[in-house]
Amino acid sequence: MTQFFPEHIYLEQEAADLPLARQVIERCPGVPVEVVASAKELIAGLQQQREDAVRGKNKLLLCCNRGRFLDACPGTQIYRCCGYAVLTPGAGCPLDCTYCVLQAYLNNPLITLYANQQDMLGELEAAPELVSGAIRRIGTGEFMDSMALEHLTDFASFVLPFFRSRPGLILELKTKTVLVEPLLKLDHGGSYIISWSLNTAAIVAAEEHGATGLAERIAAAKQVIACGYRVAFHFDPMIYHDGWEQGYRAVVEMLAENIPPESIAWVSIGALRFMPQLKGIAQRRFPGTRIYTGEFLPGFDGKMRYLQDIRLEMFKKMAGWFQDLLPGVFAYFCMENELSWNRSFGYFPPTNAALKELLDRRVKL
Amino acid sequence: MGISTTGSTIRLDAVDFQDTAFIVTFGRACGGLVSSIQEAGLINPPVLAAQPGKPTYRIVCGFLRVQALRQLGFAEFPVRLIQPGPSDAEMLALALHDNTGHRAFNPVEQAGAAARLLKYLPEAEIIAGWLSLLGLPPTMKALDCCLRIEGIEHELKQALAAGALSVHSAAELALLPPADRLALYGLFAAVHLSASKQAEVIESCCDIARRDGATITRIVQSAEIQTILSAPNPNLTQKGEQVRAWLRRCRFPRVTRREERFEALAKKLPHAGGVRLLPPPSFEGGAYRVEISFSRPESLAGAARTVQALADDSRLRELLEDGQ
Repeated sequence: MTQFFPEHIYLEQEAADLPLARQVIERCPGVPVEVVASAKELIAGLQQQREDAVRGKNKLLLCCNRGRFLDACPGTQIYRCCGYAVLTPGAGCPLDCTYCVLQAYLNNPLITLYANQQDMLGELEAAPELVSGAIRRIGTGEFMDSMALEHLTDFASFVLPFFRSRPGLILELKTKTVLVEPLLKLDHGGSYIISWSLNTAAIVAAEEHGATGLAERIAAAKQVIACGYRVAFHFDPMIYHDGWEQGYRAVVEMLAENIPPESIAWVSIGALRFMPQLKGIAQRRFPGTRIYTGEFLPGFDGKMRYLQDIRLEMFKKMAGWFQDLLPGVFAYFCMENELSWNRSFGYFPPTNAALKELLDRRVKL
Repeated sequence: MGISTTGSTIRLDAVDFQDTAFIVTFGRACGGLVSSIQEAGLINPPVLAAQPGKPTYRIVCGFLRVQALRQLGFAEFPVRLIQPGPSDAEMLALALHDNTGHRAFNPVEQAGAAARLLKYLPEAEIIAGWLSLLGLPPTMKALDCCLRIEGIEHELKQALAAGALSVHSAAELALLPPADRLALYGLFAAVHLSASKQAEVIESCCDIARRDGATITRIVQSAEIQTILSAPNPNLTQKGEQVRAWLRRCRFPRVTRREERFEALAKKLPHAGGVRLLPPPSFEGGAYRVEISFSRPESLAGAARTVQALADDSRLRELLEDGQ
């Protein structure tokens, strides 16, 4: 993907003098900047407009975050959750995946960056879970692509001193881009894990609009490994489609051929699941997509999930391929139940804390 | 707004019934008004406006009253004539206020009113200023729903106004190509389905069509559905259920096969004495349940023996491991 530059910038008055806001505006020469008194009121107004008109993926909002920057991943107790923490320097993404949960999850249609970065650092410094070591893994890829706006924000270099000062704490930067150039020159000291979402070539081509191809993602992973980073991969969402078996196997083979297993911190696996309202929103936005015509039923968390048999069919294959082709690489499920774990991996972490511990141990390696 | 009118009398054949610019009334009979006018005369004269450059008049307020007068054979009738000056937008507003004060709009009337307002006002003004008056939430979603409904065929509007078609279903049908829309409407007219079941049928048909690259018309006209519809015996509600069941099998082939396998295996297992084996909801996870119904201690004891027999039955393992 090429670097994203917005066509229009909304600048919240209160953020106007903050360094990040000034930097982003400087790096977007010629882009009109509209100062607004309140981001909240702007968003409320946009919500009154037709969805297609505002969710254009071409408008950027620079504002202040008045809520928390650091929070627990919105998992549930019903399915096994890894106890990840989510850092939110912004929300929204210039990529446009048909399965993206943000289409239904966020009420803000603008790609948003929070300019009050000092407040974020202050929150990180003071967070008791970080002081105590209860949180070992933080990621920024929950509500945005971690690298898609890096050329505007320099986020990775901005927060690096904090993470370098906290041995045993890592930041995972999750992306579908190859925009890793800013990472290559950082003296990261192992504080970052760079991860890629992966899918079959067919899904990448049809459903991940604006994202880079598989081979390019793997090549980017090799680039960062050469600079001493560990990497991670996320097969999430796995999508049951024609040719899924050959498609996913081919991706695992690509990893095995290109990525040294010892560089892989972890691999997560999860099947497509979504809030019921996402289907209508996504199908209106992407009339050609067929991914929501799978056999989905309501899960215990209220999200639509593939019939368990279908998930097991995919998971067992995937677990087997990893066992065969990348033995020793730690793979886990994101939000799955005991049956999926036992039938695919042959064990089930008895508690969320147990799964968290398994992953936290990988941080120290 | 202050539109001034004067009393007058005009001939009924001078009324332009083709001009519906201010008429949102839909699906309402004027029978009651006919009786009322016969008994008490015309109490409130309709409001009309002269058509510029023509000898005819447009109805602004009181469409049903003029219809009733026509049915009663009046040659002329008293009116309030709008003095020259007001714009069409102002006269439309007058017509709508005349109605909002004393009756609720049906969904077709809401849609018609919103669509007519859109000729004169920006969307934001309609949402903020008019939708609540029309009985709708002041949102873009509600306005869009109105505009979709305004575009559907007359027969679908009639079904909507009569309550035979839900607003949700009508708005969903409006998104489909006309042939598919009419095919589904034809199906709804041939069976009895509640609003939620209509919505389910629309969603199933849309999903199957999208998945299989077929048209909804082809699905509705499939031999299976046509066989259900042409069968002489079941009533319309039963036919509706049969259509739903067939669509569900098409939409969820693995789920329905799984359900059928469960039913078949469960039937072979001990199930006497008020004991019922239940699968996990949505077949999610591996936790099956046993439901016991009893009214006396003896029947509970009998049920306990059935549960033990169930646990001891080797076929139970086959059922529990199905699909895993």
